[in-house]
Amino acid sequence: MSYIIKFVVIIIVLLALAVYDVCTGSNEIPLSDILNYIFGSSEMPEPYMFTIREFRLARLITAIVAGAALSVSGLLMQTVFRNPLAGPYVLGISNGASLGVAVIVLGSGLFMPSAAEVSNFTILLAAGIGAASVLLLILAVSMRVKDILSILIVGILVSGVVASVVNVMQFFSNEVNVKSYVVWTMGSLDSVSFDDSVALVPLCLIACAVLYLFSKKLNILLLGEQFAISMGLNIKWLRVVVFVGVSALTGAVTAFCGPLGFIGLAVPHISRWIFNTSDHFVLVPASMILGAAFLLCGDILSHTLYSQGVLPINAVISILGAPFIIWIVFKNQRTVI
Amino acid sequence: MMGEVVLNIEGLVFGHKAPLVSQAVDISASAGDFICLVGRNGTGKTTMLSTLIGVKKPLAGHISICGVPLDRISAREKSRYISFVPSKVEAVLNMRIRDLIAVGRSPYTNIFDHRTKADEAIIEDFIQKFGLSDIAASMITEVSDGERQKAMICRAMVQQTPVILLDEPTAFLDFFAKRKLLSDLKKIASEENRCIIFSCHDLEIAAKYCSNIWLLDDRKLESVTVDEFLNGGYFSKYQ
Repeated sequence: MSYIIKFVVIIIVLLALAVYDVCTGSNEIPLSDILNYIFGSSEMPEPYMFTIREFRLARLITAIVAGAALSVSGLLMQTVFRNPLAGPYVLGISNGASLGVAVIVLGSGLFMPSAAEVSNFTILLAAGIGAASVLLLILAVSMRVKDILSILIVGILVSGVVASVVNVMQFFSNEVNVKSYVVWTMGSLDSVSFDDSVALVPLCLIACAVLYLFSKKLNILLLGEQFAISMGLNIKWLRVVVFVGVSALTGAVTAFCGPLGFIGLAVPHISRWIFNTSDHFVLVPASMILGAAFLLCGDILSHTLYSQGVLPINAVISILGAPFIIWIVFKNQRTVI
Repeated sequence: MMGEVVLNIEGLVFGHKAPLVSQAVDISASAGDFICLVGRNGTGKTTMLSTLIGVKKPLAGHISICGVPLDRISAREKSRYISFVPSKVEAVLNMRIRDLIAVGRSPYTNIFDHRTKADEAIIEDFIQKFGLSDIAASMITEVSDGERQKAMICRAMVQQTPVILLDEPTAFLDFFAKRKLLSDLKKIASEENRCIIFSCHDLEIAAKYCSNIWLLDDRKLESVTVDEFLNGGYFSKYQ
């Protein structure tokens, strides 16, 4: 099976990127030291070990989990909305998470001037609630309107409204909070602690595993909703499962890393292009691996391109990734419509 | 020629909120029947088909297939009794013709869609019968509308349901392709002993091939023979 070969290749690429990702950062760790350590031929010098344990490992896990989660989310949204333009970001789900965080980060200055530092858990909760609210809204609309375009329009409008609300909050907020919010929106994998990154792993794995079990239904759904119902699918139930899974994944990732919108749209297209299939049993794991690899690339570049510090990862992904994705989407277009 | 009754409809009233028929539908169809559902725009052909496949709930009445009442079985089980071919097949990115046809086995496979050797043999068999071997590995976006639809019909055969419904299968085909499709379907109905029901606006071509006609007119549905249909004043009525 050529699928197995392709999977082996992308897993090797992922592992290589993971090792290289550990090397990169504010103080570089020689690749040879890491390789020697992995293959057990020598001990790692303690300062390096400390850096890895305290900073790099958390960043690595976060990148892998976030990349995988967002890519699967994007894939499933593209299938459920049967639109290659869909993704958590396009439908305003990430924006919903942003609003939740904005309420906490900016609002802490507005309502509780003396408030202590906002805990990560609060941010996670706020982002999750924000993402879920937008999803529920889109869910409610999609139950009533069957037309996909209307749902997309609602998603875009909600994004606009949410952005405006955040603007108003920024206007009334103090500089420190605005700055910390704006930095959050640029995306970062560096601010996640090791414990938090580890907490992300089971959440992501469970959500992805549950969604994977719906692959057969999603494959049928690709051929149209009426057809899917005739094949015995309960479309509304399927939508609810996918939306809840996607909002859990997107909400959690957005809370920790900021809105990393581009990946969810792009990686499913890369997966379809590489594996040349529409089968979710292949595309879900492929998107997870490729999404993790994609975000690791972004992370490595954001740490290596600028020697004085870390570039915002969203900007790096968009500037360098977009031309590549456009090329793939065009290559993959063989539609006769 | 008469096979056993496979589809039995009793006291069926269909519609959105208001019923589209003024008298309840009692009608049946047998294995080997090739029935054309005829009606003008807005008379409720699509609603009727949607009700049969379960997209819409009937306002009243019962539908049973091979003696099994459809309202008593799960939606998944239903897909082993009745299959549906939409009028236009979605142009899904990166899906092969063979993948599309294999979807027909999904009512019988487990949650991981694992197909047994027997499943694969059925798929292969119908791909050959439909002459789709050459394009089985092609992407569905690379073939014509006609070929894609043929694959969708092949999928319905692979699903091995006693009743097959087609929503305007001739809508996107040229004149010759329409004739070819209907004569092929007629052959399938009799050779495979399936009950095939299709809605159609190409009345002259349809009348040439179908075994009888379900006429949806004046808010009632009745089964008529092709002769009765052609000479029954339906054409002159709407001149």
